[in-house]
Amino acid sequence: MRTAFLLVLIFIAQVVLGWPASPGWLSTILLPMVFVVGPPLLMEERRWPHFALALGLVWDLLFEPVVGPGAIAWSAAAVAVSAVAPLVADRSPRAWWAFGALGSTLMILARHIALIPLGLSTDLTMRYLLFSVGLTSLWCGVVGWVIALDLPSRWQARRARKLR
Amino acid sequence: MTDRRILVLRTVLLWILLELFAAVQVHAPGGEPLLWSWARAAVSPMLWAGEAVGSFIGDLVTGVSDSARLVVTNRKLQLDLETAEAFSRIMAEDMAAQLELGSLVSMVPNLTSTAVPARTTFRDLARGRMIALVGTDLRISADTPVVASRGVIGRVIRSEGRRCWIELITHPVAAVAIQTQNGQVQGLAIGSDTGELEIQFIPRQAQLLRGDELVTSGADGIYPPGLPVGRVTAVRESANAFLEVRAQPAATLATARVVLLLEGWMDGLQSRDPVR
Repeated sequence: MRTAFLLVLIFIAQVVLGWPASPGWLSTILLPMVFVVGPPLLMEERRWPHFALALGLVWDLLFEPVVGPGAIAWSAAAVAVSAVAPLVADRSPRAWWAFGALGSTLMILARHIALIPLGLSTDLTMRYLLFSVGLTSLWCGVVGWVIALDLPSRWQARRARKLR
Repeated sequence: MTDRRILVLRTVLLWILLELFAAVQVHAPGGEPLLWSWARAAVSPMLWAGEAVGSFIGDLVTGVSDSARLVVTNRKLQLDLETAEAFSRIMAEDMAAQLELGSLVSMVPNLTSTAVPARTTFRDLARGRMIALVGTDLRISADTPVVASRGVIGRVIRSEGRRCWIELITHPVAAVAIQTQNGQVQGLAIGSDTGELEIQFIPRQAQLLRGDELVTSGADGIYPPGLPVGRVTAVRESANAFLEVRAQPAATLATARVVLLLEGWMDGLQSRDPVR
């Protein structure tokens, strides 16, 4: 339930980032990437790539001209991250940052490749790729850092200290 | 297969289905769904290949039947060509025979009224025999002298229908009364197994040299006088009273196409010297 709530929140944020009034570079951040990077790093559900399909379909409905390429791209990123994550022992914010970069790179490339046969692909520039990958990985790194802080336990510890 | 592989396989399958689903939503420039154009693009090579194979098989069948027809036509043309070549050879032979006949007639100008032309159809030089075919049903009597373009070649020994059997002068039992051109030396030309003539009864004191031409003397009562018989090739002394003389027949027996049968030459004789 919490995950569904967070997903809705993330997609609303993604829509807000793409508003015409907001700066153009904001829309290059792939906010849902944390749901691709997070589960493998947190040792959660192994079949998360299938859920990434659903995430991609929602992405398609909201941001793509046709339904399909987004689902392919997001699930490709999820498959790659879930395949590589068990090989790496590091679970620090740095790992979040690295896997965010990997996932976003794969997502952008897979989306572009999936759109080519449909005749809908636009020119993929290196500048856009680097910008999007950089910002998305930064976003994932921030999320990883927040998770690593373990704010709820700290908050409880602080309250316990005050009550004493 | 491990779970991970199955997972990847299912995911890839899902990607393909999603791509197809996306293709249904996109329309090609013609207005139809992109998926249809994909399907057509996938099927058209097979259709093209099927059409090409059908066309190839059709061409092959046509080619084979055309080839068979060509072989038959070629064979027919070859037969026609062979027939034409045979006709050409026959015509050339006839032409040569006509020329030969012309020279024959000019050789015996005084005997042309009695001369019967005939085509040689068979010759056996080893046995001294020749068969000639007469143009008409005229009956040719035995002992009729036969001349070819360069001289006498023999006499008729048998006649049946239009065919005449000729005994050549080279036959071992054939004999022709001969003399030299000036008539000073006379003798008898006998055939031999070697194809040459043996000139017998030439006295030792006779003036006979190699190269001397021998003609018929008419003394045998078969051949008219003056017809060329042969040319002396060898003159030798012998133990008996006569010279040993050999001569080569004047007529080329092996190549004679046309002969003249001097049927009843005695009846038609108009002068003492029937030959030029």
